[in-house]
Amino acid sequence: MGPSGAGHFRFSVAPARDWVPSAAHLLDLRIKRGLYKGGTHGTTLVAEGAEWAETHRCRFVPDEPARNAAAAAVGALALLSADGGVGIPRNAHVVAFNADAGLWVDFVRAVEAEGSRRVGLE
Amino acid sequence: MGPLLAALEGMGVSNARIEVEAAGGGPGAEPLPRGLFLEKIKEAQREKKRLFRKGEVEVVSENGSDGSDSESEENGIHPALARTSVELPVTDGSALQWAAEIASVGLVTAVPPVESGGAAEEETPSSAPAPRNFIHVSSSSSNSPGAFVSLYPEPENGESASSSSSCRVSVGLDAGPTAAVVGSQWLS
Repeated sequence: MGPSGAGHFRFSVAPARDWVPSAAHLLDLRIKRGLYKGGTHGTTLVAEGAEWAETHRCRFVPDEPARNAAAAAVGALALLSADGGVGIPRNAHVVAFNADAGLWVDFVRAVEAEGSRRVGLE
Repeated sequence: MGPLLAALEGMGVSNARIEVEAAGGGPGAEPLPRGLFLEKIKEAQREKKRLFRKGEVEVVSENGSDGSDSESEENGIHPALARTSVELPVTDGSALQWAAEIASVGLVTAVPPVESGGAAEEETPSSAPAPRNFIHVSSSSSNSPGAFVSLYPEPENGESASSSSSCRVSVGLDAGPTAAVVGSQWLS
């Protein structure tokens, strides 16, 4: 994330939360799939059509879901770390669209299968 | 678990891993590579503090034990391994509090142990993957049609191959008509 993009991870990406398309979807995740058990009220943004269910909870009004996706990308790329180094690739542009956790795992495996070299960092 | 992993990587901690202990079984004894580690882990281990005080998460030493008298601690070597036997606290749903906790303890560059032949003051070199080939994966799931992750190799900057500025991550999503408030978004 460069200065012209999302800014520093701590302030521009880390605060972004996950979202669901509707309250019914959230209930479905909790009851049928057992997810979000530890998530108290307000830990997930809930969309209601063209508005958020609780607008005041949104931290980045135009693009919090995209920032959350960026956090998910950073977490997934952490799995590429090795040998005392970091996981985010250098000399590369990673582009992800609608990627879920399963697809990120597929991507990490594809990078590892490529047998990527590693470059030193200053 | 994702927010903590993202916070570790995003805040510059190397070899970010989260180890979840299986019920009745301890973590494996396989040694971890060394890298940049949290500065105050040694002190925290002595005082039995936790990285995140109200959570069931603690940072452990290289071999997965409490490591209070291990050789690795004597050499100041600690991996960035968060160990938990329970579900990680959700905190506020984001990675913010993890990132703040990591920032509050700070980072330090690890040094190799004396027995490996390195001087105690010598820093462990850090590294990052740098794939040479285009990599593309796409989703066949009906839940996310058109989803993909691609990696485009870029030329190395100038005379130095160690530049950390040539790293770009772009993410996009299209929530479709079900959540118009989200719509289509991109971020680089």
